[in-house]
Amino acid sequence: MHNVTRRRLALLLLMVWAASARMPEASAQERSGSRDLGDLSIEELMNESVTSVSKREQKLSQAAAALFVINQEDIRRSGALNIPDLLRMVPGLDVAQINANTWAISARGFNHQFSDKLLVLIDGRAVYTPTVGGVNWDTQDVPLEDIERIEVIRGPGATVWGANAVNGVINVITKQARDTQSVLATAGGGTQDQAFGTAQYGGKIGADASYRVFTKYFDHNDLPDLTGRNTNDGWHLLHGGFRVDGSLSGNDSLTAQGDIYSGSEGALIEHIASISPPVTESVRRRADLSGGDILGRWSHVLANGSDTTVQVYFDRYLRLGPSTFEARNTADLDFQQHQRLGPRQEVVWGAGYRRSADQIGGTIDGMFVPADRTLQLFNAFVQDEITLAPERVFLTLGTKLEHNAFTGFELGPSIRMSWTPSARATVWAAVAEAARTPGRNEANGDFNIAAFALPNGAPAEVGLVGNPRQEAEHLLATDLGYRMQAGSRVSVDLSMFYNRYRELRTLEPGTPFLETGPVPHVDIPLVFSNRMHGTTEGLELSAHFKVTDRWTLSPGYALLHMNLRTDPGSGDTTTAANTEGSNPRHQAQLRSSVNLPRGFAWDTNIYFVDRLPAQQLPSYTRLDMRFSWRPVERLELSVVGQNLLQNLHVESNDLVTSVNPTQVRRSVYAKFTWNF
Amino acid sequence: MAVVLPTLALLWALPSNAGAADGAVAAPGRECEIKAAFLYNFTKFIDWPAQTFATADAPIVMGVLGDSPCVQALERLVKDRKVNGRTIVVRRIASAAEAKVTQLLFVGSAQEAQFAGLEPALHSLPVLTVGESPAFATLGGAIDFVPQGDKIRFEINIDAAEHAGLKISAQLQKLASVVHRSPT
Repeated sequence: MHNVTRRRLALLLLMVWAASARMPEASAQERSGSRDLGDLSIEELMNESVTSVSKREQKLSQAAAALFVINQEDIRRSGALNIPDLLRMVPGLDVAQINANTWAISARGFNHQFSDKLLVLIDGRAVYTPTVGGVNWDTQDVPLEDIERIEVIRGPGATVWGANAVNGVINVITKQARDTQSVLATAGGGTQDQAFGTAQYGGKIGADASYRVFTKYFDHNDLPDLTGRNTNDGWHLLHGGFRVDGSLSGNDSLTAQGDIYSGSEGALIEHIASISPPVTESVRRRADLSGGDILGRWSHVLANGSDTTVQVYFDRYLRLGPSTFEARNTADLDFQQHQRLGPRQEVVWGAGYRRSADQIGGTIDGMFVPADRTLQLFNAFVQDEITLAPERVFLTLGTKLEHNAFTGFELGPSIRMSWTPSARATVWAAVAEAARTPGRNEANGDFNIAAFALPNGAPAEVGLVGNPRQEAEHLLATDLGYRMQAGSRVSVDLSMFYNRYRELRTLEPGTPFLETGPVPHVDIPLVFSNRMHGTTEGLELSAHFKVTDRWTLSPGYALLHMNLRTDPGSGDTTTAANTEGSNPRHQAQLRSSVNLPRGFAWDTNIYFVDRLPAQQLPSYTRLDMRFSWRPVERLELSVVGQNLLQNLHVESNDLVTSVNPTQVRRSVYAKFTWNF
Repeated sequence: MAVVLPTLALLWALPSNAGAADGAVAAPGRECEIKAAFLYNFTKFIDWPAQTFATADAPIVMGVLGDSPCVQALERLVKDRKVNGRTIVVRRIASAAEAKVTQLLFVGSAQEAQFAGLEPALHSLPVLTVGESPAFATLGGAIDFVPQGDKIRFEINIDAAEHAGLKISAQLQKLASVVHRSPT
């Protein structure tokens, strides 16, 4: 059945020559209808796009995908100091903090520390790691003032997005250097975020190029574990970076940017201290983090409106601890061309190559076999956006073809359609296939997770063992959405999905065997396999109400229902229930922004997250509040309280990671931002 | 899915009602809205000579020359706003006499020829002239919007402003892409 659908999809795609327009570029002014330009400063006005309403925003409101945009104003007023906390405002994303420096973030289910179905990009650089297919959120550090917008797509997204875009895409886009032409200084401190600051300088190089350089630092306090004991999971990171944007001619633009960082963090992790007698204990470990990246991008626009982009980047990171020692070097080359074919078709096609080489040193808790491996990823895509009725009906057909080191070729076809019956409403629908290729952990991992004594007293150990023949997980996603703008004060965005998965990851008990070292014991392997299938369905709703000229309310809601089953023959009795029970069924939020006279502003964000039965966690409500004052254009003072309702609450008791959960604590900080 | 369909049906029904209540508002030019916000912001950075205003709470008069499409956007934006305790009124300007009593005069690119005709009458009067084409500076305009990509930036012709007896704050000058100053 799936195969028939898939073949039909693929055939249809191959018959139609090509591919289509890239994901419409979302604009920061998505909600300009509810924003008052008169409240913006001259600097902010200089960053407003003229085309956003007429052309690009039109495209955004017509996008055939579940798209949510976080703009700079949202970022500033959220009170968040890191990207995970910012993402809480996106309905349908589940952000659960595991300890002070570790988060589980996913869209539409399957959340755990190594959530492996998200593609996360920072200025075109993919930051998920093939070690686990997930994102090390602790080192994804961007000066929040420099972010132009964050686009979040729930679902497989469009064909143009690369590997790992299965359940969602998070695309962080920073401002052009010419839009940060000033000295920026921010500094602050509080109970959890003890000290943080950014210093940035923006300038010009000749008439046609601008640059910025920054340095950023933070130091975050420890959190207690579930018993209240300190875990030493505090962390700090020092980060420097730059961005240069220049135009060679009217038609050519160049971007170069880079980062370098270094820091350290702690964690309490599960550790097998002894197999005989069996002792599993929680130990405090510290990890040293460092890395850097450099990226270059060249775009050329032809007179006929078509454009070509070439991008290359290198990324290196080192993570020494808590349970493995890992170095990874990634080089990536991407090419993309976009052109119009006649009046009704816009084609985007492209190709890319990524080479990612790692060295992973093991410890007694885990290792990789082989320890060093170089992965190559080739991908090509083509997409065609066809205008069936000008400004009203668009059909987008596309497919990507990818070759990865673990499972060979994977195809990702999609069909999207949007219909805009009036300027105020758009209905869209999409059917897409996506493949999630295994991480190094699933193919090559070897982790010791528990030691215990068998009924006869013999020592035994449970190991998680990689499967070199691990297959990709496959998704057939069906999406339906509706957006509408009622007057200039109300906008509503609803998306619904029905996802059908097959070949989902399971852990199959293997044949126990006798291991002689370090002491004789019975080794019970759990081997990665692909013997689960199932469906997820749900909806996400977000809205903006401009109640008065000074007051905006943004409610959001997400419903998720997961229904997973192991295949016949599977011996995995826990993964299905654990996965289902580790994702909140209901999430709701309400954000309120009030502009008070004399430069004062007051923001309140409330988030409700449903219980996680598999993790035995009750639901929780989180309240963040921010009070700010802008006495003059260039200076802003703010006081932010986070997690105000409870002194301590637990957001995740992740069943997958060996990192022990800690409790998130009520906290307060003060901050100043000076732009001159 | 039982929840989904009624929700969709409900939302479907909404826009038609809302649309009716709201009436058909022609999508206002985004560019006009941004420029209007700039004009409003400019007034915060300009020092008019003391005698410009009859009283401490006399309004700031913004003129829009001729039949510029930006008039409505500007009227909407300045409504209920104050700058230094002064309200702002927007007037459509057709003649030199009307232009003389404004504090700020916006000249659309289509109205430049008309502006060239009345510019001599404004000479050395404290009227901040703001235009939107490179030619405007050569006509004696003080501030000029210039498109840069899909953003709007501005240039300042400091001589023209000083000639009009206006002081443009250093902060605004810093934000300008270019500050033109004739060599002395």
